[in-house]
Amino acid sequence: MRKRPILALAIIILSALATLAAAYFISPESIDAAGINGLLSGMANLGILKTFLLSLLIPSLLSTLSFCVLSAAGSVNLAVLGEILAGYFAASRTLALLLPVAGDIAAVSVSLLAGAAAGAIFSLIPVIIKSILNINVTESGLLLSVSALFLSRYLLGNEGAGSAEGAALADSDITAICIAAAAALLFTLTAAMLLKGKTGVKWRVASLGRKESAIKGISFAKALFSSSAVSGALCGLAGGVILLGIGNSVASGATQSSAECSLIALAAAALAAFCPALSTALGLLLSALCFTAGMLLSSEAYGAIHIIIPALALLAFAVLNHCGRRIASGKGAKE
Amino acid sequence: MNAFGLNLHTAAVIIIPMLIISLSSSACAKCGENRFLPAEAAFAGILLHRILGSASLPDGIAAFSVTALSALLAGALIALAYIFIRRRAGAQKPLFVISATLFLSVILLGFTEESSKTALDNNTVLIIASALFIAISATLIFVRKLRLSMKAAGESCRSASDMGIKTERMTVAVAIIACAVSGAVGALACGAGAITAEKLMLMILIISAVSRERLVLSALLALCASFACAYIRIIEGADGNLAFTILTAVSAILMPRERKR
Repeated sequence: MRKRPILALAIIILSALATLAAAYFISPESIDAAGINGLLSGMANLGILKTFLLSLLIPSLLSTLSFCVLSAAGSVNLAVLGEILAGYFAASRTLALLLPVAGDIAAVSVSLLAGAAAGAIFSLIPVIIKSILNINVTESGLLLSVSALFLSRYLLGNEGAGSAEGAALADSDITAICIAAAAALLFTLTAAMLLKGKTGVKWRVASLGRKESAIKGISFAKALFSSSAVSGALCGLAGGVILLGIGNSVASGATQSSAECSLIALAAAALAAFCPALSTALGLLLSALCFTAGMLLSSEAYGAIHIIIPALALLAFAVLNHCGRRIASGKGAKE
Repeated sequence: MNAFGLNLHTAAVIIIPMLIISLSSSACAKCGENRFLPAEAAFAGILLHRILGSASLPDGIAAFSVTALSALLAGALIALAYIFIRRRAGAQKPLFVISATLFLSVILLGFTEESSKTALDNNTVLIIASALFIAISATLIFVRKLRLSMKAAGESCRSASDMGIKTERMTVAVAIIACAVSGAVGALACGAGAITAEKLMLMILIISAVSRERLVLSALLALCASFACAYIRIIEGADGNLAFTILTAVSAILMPRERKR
């Protein structure tokens, strides 16, 4: 059992290398010298690193952790896309309101908090529906997520709702570094809480079921609510960070970026059997692979690779035997 | 023929395939299988329609026959793969795979284009879909033994074995047939071109979500949902994002309740 995550890691690296090689041999003209030179000179400039951090890496890792948090409580979060989009909207509206009256750092901080709050509220909707109507949380979350996708298209349209000033703020080195440092700190704290904290233990006990958690003196409903809220807040924060990464975007830009992060997070968390450390490593690897492919390849080849990598990861996940039994048996709590 | 300002001929092209998918979902749910499974097969059918449409096939009905047959096979394969994964992994994983398939399908659709090669006129679609719908619903209504066997297989192994039914075989057979039919119907509905592939996928998702074990109730809910979708599509035009948002949110509340254990 211990070797499976390593096997999964090896599979994902091999599949990524294979797809890159395939893209090279199928369309050699797509990788031109100018692209590689552009990448090398671009990396010397900090701008490209910031784009990578804010639009892909940090949101992906936050979403990955969000999957781990809810799976610890025995549920699966399939509303990630909707939560990210909710966070994106809340952050963009708050930023537009606060920028004229407050300082840059204050406006960015409050807008990120607003994004996190929106994500938490969105994630609680399926839980509330479950408590009132007894409808499956995962299924209603998936539908609400699709609903959020269409709502974002309606709201964003072709004009975009993001803030150009937000993108300009993220362009300044200090703001970008502050955001990255704050996200890293939050990420570490949540992972520590999940692995060692009392709340993490309560969630894992709740994953055993309603009866078992009642025997151990833990409220099942409270555990489900708190884990959903933390999971949603992480995704909402990811949406806020995406806003700063891509700036004033039309519907396709915001939804595409959110969908990318959701897929990377889903593949990473599922392959690593929801282990926070391994999920983070895989999320990092997948984000890096997708970003490098984006830099090296033409847009069409990038699009193909971008789909093939998570698809192969999910296929490996389906063949390997991690998640179902772990969640069904509440393995984490027994440990 | 018009009603509520809606051209019923065009609406039927959208509604009848949705009713067939609803019956498939309901049959799967009755057998204790995941009701989103036919939806996944239908997504595969839609994607195959788009991919084969851009391949070098002869025009017209021949091209469509190839697409429909491929979709039929793809649906059956999806059912087999799903059952294999569920046996190995437990209950949670297949739902994961379904959601991943949904997002991947939506993204993949962006890389394919509508093609006139595999397109069909509304009358052909209506005849094929109506024939399929009548055949399936007649089988489900009049073959009482089949209905009871499905119910027994879904409820418990004991009641099924009392009736002399092999639960696993029954479930696998129903899942494969439902998925194969849904795959072909997905390709058929996409071929009609009355609605964009992306919106068609959303409609299929909504129909599967509101389906439940009771066939008639499922069909009625599917009729209402697909009529609303057709109304939005035809009256409001190509956009309708807000209306679809509301419809999806409402269907999240109309989903069947979980059984208390």
